[in-house]
Amino acid sequence: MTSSVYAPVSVTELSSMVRDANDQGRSFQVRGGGTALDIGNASDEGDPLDISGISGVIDYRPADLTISVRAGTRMAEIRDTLGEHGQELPVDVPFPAETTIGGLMACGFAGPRRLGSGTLKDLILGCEYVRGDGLVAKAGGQVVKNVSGFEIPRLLHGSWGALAVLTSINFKVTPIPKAERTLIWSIPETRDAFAIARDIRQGHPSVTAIEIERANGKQSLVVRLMGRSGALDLQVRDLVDTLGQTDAIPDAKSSAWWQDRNDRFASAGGDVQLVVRTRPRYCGEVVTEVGKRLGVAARSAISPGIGVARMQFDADAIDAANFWQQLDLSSLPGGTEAIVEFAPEEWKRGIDTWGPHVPGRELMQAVKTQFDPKGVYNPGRLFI
Amino acid sequence: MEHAHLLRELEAIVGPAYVRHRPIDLMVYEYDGSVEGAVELASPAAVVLPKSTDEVVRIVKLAWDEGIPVVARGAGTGLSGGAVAQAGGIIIALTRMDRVIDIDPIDRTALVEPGVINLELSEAVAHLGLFFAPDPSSQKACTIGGNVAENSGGPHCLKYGVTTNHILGLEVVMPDGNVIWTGTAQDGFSGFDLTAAMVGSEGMFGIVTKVLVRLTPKQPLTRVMLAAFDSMEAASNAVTGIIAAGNLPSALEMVDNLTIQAVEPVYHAGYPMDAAGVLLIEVDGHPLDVEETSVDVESICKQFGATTFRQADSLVERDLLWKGRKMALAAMGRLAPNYYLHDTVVPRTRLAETLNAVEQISAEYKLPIANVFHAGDGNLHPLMLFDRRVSGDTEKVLEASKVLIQTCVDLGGALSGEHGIGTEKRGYMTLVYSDDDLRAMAGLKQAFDPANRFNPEKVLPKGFVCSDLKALHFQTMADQHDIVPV
Repeated sequence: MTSSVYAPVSVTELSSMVRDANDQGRSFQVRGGGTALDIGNASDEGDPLDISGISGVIDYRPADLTISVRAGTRMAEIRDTLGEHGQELPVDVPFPAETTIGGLMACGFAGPRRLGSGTLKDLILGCEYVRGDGLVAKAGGQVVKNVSGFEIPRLLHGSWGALAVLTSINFKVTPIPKAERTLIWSIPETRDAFAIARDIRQGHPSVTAIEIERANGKQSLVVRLMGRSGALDLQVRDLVDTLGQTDAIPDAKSSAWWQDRNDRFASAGGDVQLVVRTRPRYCGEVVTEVGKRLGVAARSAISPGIGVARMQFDADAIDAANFWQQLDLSSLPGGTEAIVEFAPEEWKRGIDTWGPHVPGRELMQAVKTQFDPKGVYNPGRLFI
Repeated sequence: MEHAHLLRELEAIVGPAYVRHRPIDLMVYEYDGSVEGAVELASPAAVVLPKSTDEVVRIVKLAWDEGIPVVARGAGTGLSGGAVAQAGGIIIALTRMDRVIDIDPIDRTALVEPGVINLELSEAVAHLGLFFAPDPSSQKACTIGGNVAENSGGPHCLKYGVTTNHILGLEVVMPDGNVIWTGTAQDGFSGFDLTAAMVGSEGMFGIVTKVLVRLTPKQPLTRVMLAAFDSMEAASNAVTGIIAAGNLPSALEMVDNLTIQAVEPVYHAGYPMDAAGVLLIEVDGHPLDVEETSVDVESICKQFGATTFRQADSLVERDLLWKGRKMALAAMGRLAPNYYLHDTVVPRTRLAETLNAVEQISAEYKLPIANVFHAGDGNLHPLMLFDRRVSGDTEKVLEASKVLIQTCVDLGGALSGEHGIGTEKRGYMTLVYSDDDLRAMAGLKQAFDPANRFNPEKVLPKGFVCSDLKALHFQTMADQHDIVPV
C-alpha cells in the first residue's frame, strides 16, 4: 500500500489536514527538510506530512535583532537573510541547504558550538504551532524578553514533533563575531586530550567550541575561538605557546571546517552512530569505557566541554539485541545517557533507539495527551 | 478537615515551630512585593516551612488527600502576586531549604535547594571565578526557587540570558506528592524538555525542591560607562545604535530625569542632574575586546548627542555608577509614598515612541511616571508615583496602567518581561493571546496538575482552568476594577 503525501502550504490547510486525521484515526510522520528522518525508531505507521511548503521569512528586524520565520524555511535561506546584516543564529546546522528551522528546533540539535553560544532553545522568543487535534495556537512573542504565559515554545524545542507541528518561530539573533580562528593539534593517543581540553576551557572563557576527534588510531584536538581579532590573536599565541604549533586552518576556512564536521556526523553511511551525553568531567572516562564495552573501534567526534560524544561503529560488529545490556549505562558515572542516532534499518528494528530509560515518562505521556490526544504525530518513532 | 486537625498534621511533619497559623503571623503571607491594590490579597489556612524534600512531599500528600490548594513561596519579593496565598490554602515557604549541596567548578554547575538566596549563590562561587548570571534587582533577598518560578531576569540578561538559560535540571514535587527529576532536551536526550516547561510556570506545575544551575565564568575585565543625553529620544536612539552596530554590552540601562532627581541627592552616583536621560553601559570580556567595544560605544553615544561620557574600570567607581540604578526604587520614597512598577517589553526600536506615549499618559492622568529600565532589552519599568491615602489615586493609577499596557501591546510588546503574570496581569492575558492560545496553555497546566491544586488562580484568566476547589472565592483585581477588555 502506498501512502499519501500531505504537503500543506498554509497553516489553515495544515490545521484542517490534522483535524481530519484526528477525527478519522489516521496519523502522520512529520518532516521538514528530511535530514533527520533516519533518527528514531523504525515505524511503519502514518503518512508523510511535509511542512517544507510552509516557508519564508515573515518579519526580520535587524535593529531589534529579531526574526520571525515559517517553520519550513531552509536554514541556508535564514543564514543568507541574516548574513546580509552581519547577523546570525549562532548554532551548528548540518546540511543547511536542506535542513529547515522547524526541523532543527524539533530535533533539539546542538553541535560543538553549544559550548560558547548555547542552543537554539536559548534564542526562542515565541512560536505558532498546530496541536495534534488541529488547534492552532501561539505562545511567547517577538520581543527579546517575555514571561507572559507558560513556556510552550521551549517545551516544543527537542520534542521531535510529537506534541505539535511548528508553523512559525520567532528568534533572537546575534551579530556575527567579527573574527574567528580554528586551531587543530594532533595529540598522541597516549596523552590525555580531555585534560588538555579542560585546561584550555578553564583558561579561555571565550572559547566557542572544543572538539576531540578520534579515528583510525589518531587523535586530534580542535579549538574554535570567536570574537574581535585583537583578542583572538593574543589567545592563539597563548595556546600555541602551551600546545605547540598547529596544523593550521586558514581563518577563511574556519567555519567551513566546522560545517564539514557537522555534516560528517549528521549521518552514518550504514554504520551505527551512538550519541552519549554525560557530565563534562566524566566525558573522557565514559567515552573510553563505552568503546571498551562495545569492543569495536569507533570514529568519534567528542565535545568534552559539553559532555557529548558522537561515536560511529561498524554495524556488523555489534549486536542490536544485546546493545543496551552491553553498554549498561546505569553503571557509568555522571548520569550518562545514550541514544542510537543512526543505524541501518534492519539493525534499528531490533532495538529502542532512545535508550533503556527515559525519566519522567509518565508526565511526558500526560503532556502528550494534552497536545496530541489521539497520537496523530509520529507514532512509533519516538520515546512516547 | 477541621483547621485544628490540619495544623496538628502539619506540625507532625515539620514540628510546631515551623507551622504558622495565628492571624498576625499569616498577614505577611497575604502579600508579596506587588503594589497593594494591584493584586488580590488572601489569607492562607497555614504556612509551613519544610526543611527537606521529604517534608515537602508529606505536606503535599496531606494537601492532596484533603483537597487543599497549595502555594509555594520563596522570599516573597515577587511583583505580580504569584506567591500570594490562596484563601484557605497552605503556603509552603521554602526559605529553610537553603543549602548549596554541590559546586562543580569543572562542569561549572551547582546543585542548590530552592531557598538559596540569589546573591549568596554568586558569593559562594566567587572564589572560583564564577557567578550565577540572573541578577534581579531583588537579588539580595530573592531565592533561586522564586527565580525559577518566575523565570527572572535582571540587568545582565541582555548578554547572559534569563533564568531559563541557566537551569539544567530540577527536582520537582508533583501535586500528588510524586517526585521527579526533569532534564533538558537536546539531541533526543531526556525526552520532552520538562525543565523548560517548569521554568516560568509560576508555581502552577510543581514545587521545585532542588535546582541544578549553570554557573558562568567571570570575564577578565568589566567596564561601566555613563552617557548623558538631552532627551530620552536621543538616549533611546543611542541604545538602538549600540546594539545595531554589533555590540553586545553585558548591561544597557536607562535612567530618566525624574529618577535622577530621586537618587542623585542621596547616593551621589554622579548622574548629571540636568540630563533628560542617562545610559549605563557595561561591557565585559577580554581587555582588548572591552577596549574596542568602549571606543565603539563612545563614538555612537556622541553621534547621538551625548552631553557627558565617562567610564569606570575600578570596582569602587563601577559600584557607584551602578548604585544610582540599583537604589532607584528605594529612592522613590523621596518623591511619593507609593509607586506602581510596570514591566512591559517593546521591540527595542520602538523605545523612543513608547517613552513618548508614557509621557503622554503621565500628563493626561496628572501622574508622575519615572523610568528606570533595561533599555537594551526594550524592557520598560515605568514607575507610577502616587499616594494611596489620597482618595481616587489608586483608581487613577490602575486606569493609567490599563492604558499603558494596551499601548505597549499595540507597539508589538509583551505584558511582562521578567515579573510574571500572577494575579496582577491575569486579566490582561486576552490582550495578547487568543482563546485557543490560552486553551493550549491550560492544557499544559492540566498535564502537570490535573486537579488544579498548585497555585490554582494565577496566570490564566478566569474560566480557562477547571477547578475542583469549590470552597474558594477569589476575585482578581482586574475584575474588581472592571479592566478586563471585553
